[in-house]
Amino acid sequence: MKTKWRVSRIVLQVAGWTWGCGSWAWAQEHPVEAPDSVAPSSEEVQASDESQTQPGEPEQEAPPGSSEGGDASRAPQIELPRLIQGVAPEYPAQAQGEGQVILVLTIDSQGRVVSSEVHESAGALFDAAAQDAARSYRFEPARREGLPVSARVRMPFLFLPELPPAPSATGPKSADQEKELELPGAPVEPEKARPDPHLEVNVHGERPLRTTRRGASDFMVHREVITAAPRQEGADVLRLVPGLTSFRTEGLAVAHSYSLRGFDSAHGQDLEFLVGGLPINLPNHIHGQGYADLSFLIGEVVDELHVSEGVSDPKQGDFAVAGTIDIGLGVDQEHRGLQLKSGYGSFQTFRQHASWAPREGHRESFGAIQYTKTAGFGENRAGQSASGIVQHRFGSGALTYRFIGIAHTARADHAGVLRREDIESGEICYHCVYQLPTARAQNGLAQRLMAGFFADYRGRSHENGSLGVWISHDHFRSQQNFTGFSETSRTLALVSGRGDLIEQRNTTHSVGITGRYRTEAFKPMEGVHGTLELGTNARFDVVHQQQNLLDGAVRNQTWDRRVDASISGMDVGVFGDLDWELGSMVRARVGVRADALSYEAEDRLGNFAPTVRPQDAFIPGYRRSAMGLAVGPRASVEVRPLPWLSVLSSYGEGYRSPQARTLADGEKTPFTKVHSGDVGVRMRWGEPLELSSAAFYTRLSDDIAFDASEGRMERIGATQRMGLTLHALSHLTDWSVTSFSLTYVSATLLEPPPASAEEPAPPFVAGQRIPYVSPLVIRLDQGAHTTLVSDWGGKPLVWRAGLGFTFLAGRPLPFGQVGDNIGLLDASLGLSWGVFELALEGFNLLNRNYPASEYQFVSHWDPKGVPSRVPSRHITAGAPLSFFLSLGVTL
Amino acid sequence: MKTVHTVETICAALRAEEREANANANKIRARSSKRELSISVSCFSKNSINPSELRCKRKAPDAASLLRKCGTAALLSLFGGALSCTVSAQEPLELDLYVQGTEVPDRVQLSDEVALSLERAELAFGPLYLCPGRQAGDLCDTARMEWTEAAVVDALSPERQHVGQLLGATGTTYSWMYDYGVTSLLTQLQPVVSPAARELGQASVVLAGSVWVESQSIPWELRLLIQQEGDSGRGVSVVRKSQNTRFSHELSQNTESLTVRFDPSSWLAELPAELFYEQADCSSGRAQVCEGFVEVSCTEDEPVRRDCSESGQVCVPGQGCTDSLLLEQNSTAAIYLKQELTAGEPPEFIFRERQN
Repeated sequence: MKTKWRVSRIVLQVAGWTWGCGSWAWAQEHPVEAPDSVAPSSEEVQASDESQTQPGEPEQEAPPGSSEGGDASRAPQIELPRLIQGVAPEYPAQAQGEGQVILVLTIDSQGRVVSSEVHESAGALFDAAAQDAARSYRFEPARREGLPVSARVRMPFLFLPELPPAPSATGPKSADQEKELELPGAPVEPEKARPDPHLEVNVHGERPLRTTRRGASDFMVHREVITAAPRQEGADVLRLVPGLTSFRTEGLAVAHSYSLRGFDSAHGQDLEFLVGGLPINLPNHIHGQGYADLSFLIGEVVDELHVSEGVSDPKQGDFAVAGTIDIGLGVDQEHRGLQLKSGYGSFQTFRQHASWAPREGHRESFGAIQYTKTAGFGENRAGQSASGIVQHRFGSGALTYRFIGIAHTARADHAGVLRREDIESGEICYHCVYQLPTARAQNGLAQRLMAGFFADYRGRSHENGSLGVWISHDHFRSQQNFTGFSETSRTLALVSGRGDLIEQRNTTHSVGITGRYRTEAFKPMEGVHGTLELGTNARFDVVHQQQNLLDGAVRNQTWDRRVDASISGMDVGVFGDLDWELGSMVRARVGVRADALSYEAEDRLGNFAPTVRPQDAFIPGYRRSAMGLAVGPRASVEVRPLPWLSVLSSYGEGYRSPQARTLADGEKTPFTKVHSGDVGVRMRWGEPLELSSAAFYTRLSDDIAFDASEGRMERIGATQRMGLTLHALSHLTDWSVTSFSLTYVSATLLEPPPASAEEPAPPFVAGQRIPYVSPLVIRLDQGAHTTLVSDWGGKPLVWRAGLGFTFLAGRPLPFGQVGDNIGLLDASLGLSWGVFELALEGFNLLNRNYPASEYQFVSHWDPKGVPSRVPSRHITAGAPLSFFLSLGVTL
Repeated sequence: MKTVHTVETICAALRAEEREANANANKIRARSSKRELSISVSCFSKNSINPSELRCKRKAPDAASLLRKCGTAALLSLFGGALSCTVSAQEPLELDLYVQGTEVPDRVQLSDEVALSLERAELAFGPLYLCPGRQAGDLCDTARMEWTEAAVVDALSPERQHVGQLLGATGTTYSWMYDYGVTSLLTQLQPVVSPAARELGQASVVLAGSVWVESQSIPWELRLLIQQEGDSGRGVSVVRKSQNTRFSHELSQNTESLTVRFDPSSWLAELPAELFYEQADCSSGRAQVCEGFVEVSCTEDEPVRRDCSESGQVCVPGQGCTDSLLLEQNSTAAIYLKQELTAGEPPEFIFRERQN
């Protein structure tokens, strides 16, 4: 008997964007729009009762400005998965008669079938035949706002004992016709679909609870782009953020150095980071205000980045000066289950990853651990790190809950800075360390534990809210020498020149709450409707910190004390946000945010001046308190004159809290205020191409920059930035994705501190470019994948390739110097076959010696030589050419 | 009247804004009487930007094209404006460094009876720092320019001698400091002796000449080591511009060289003649005194007299009859000279500007 099968008329059902009850809506013409009355959901939509479908909703194409994550009151565009390749199942030789098997297939974002379950059985023979066939199918993946997402499809297989009539236009070819399926290029129309709802498509997607893409400089970076180019560690995903640079400048155990849109954010002072809803920035950190160490990130569980450049969302709080990066965690369907991955590469780098994500669990539910050990490139860069992240979403109906826990520790040596002239003269190699105890003693230690619990409410009528509590413990210690031998003890008389090895210790205990509620839509008149959101964030931090000078040659003997302080800080923030549609073309969002911050600082070395006054004249110490209020409006307007075009404009006033230790008693807390404006366009031509461009201007009332002599940030006065960002996301072919961004910025100092007796030659003068910030940042990410062999041992063999390129124009340095241009090329090649994945990644393929950071200051690294007192260029070396081979298995 | 924003107007606006910012900064938080700013504005693009392009007309036939046009104009204007002007402050600077001596008179008269002649005056000079503040020393952690080497200077030669390059950045210098070839370091208990000082026999300065007492003369020589004394001054140059000395110079790309000119005669001029000649008697209580050319040994009995001139010698206080004078490091004359070399009349700093 010939093999016979056909696919009945295919009927697609799309999950309605209802939360909780998860009603089904009949597929409309692509793209599918959610019924207006449906509330958003951030969880996978589940199939259920057809009675709640609303087929009569008018079709409305989503505007480009409201792409995924962008608009809480409009449903995102959904494109259904399409079967593009498949082999007809064999009619079982021992079977008899007719049978219909309905399988539920899970299709990943690459279009592969990663699991099949028998939903309706027709007996073991038919079931097995259907499953065997289904596992080899390739789909054009479902897309949400043009980006591929995983989906679950209910697919019927009808086995007939004799050759059926010729299939319909949407059906397969007969088995005689090479068994290759030519299934519909697009979902069938509802008229055809409605009577025979055998095939159901359940698109996994998230519906934002609130508008997040408000300006032209707001971006969503999805998993597909995140995985396109190779990355050495989880935090490298930040390089995908348009205009952002991220480099390891102080070893594995110290936070990356970031810059964005002309802001030298150092270790996070100008960037608000959230991971899974947990705030990462640490106020009043000894190593830099807003210190944000993202080393704990595990790349395999970074699901998406929501980037808000500038200030336009009332939810943006402290440190949202250059913008906010909200990192979502989750595991896609393809990698759910038990995933083990081991890798080994250059410089004896070993990495072990393990994660577990229940296959039927929510995308956000997983547990992952990672351990990394490396000898480090060059000298004095050995280190280890270990991270664990667990997240679980549970509950159903209107209320769901999410728990997240993050643990991280790392310790690593650090080679520190090198004088450029020493490298050029051949005195030291590019990736080496000064052969001095004070230089070789540089290292860092990081320990962090965070946990949060969040309850999310999603009402039937769009109203939604969330409430969360979180707690965090962070300990940091570093030993770093930037200046060699130039310090004199302030504590011990006549002691000097023992090496400027600065020890910094910082312990922060934090607890916080967060809550917000958005109302259902008000409709005061025809064509005008919108919502109001009220929210609050509050946190309490206790910080203990010290800064000392150590003698690295004598068992870290302390030879000077610079800081010994404790700080308690409280931040209570509230915000309101109106989000209104004004007709069919205009959307306006207006809000305000206010933060009250109070501090108590106990500076145990305050008033300590042994060389001036007798020590018994007073007891050293300076305790004081201060409080201030930061209030700022946030607004954005979006105009959609054409279906493919959005014009966006936004303005906001944000703030950065001060270092409490710099405050005087009773001082009105001098917030660094930022005025940030953007105007731009977002254009989207269907699926293949999305372009956005924005011009921006920001002005900061009081900026800070790195001071090498203290190893921390110091005030540099008012600054301004203006520039342009271009971003393009392309799916020109169904097997590739391209992300490109270009950011140009002109950043200048307006009002640096004047010369003083203590600083007669300030490195910063009015009008000069802000140091350490590249005026031009270009980033390209390219990913491609396709099936090499469709059936190799019963499984397809798929290859992948990725490319990442970063270009930074020379960074301005103090004293009129300019750094080098930097071009970095990374690439990867990978194969996946069944449960196995093999990948070879190469980094810095051009093998350029590049500075991860550049500074200009006075240093003296020859303890027997005459000291230089003229500022000189210093670099910390970036990683040279390296390779990494990894093998993974997903069970 | 239609205003056209050219590069010049944008730069002018930037300069005005900067002046205002400076004024505010000085008003609010000035901690020093004068700010040291050197701003140069270089505009390298001549594109002009017409703000009329930025205006969006109220009535437009096509909203999309209008928005596209206005948006493009705004973006181009912003981009162009940002590109067209670069305000820079300090720039790297390298100057030729010369040293120069001064011919001295045949004799420097210290008193009616005593004169000194100088036939050799060599000093180890360097390192040299030009500082941005009015006070050098501890407050010159960051220098404007520096020359970290040392060289032997013939202080009697009026010829300019090129010794190296001063490296640093543009800006105003208000003070200087230097060593005489022996430099104190924060990292060492003992100062570092430069090759130049070693060339002079571990000395900072070598002076030699003749002492003329009336018509009689004898040769004299001094080898002086000038270094930072004590721990409190460790790491600081030994010669620093005093606060009373006026000194300032705007270092720019037009500055070509610096010549440091020493005048040894000034070092000798203040030496007390009593160091070389005295008319004393035994009532001073000393064991030996000079009565002009006569050496008097004071004993409990009758003083013993010896006329030094008979043997072509002179009587030098503290030494008696001698035919040559080797001044010790801690001799009174050496202390005087050290004082003159470190805190006396400073050398002359001569900046030469390029001719445009």
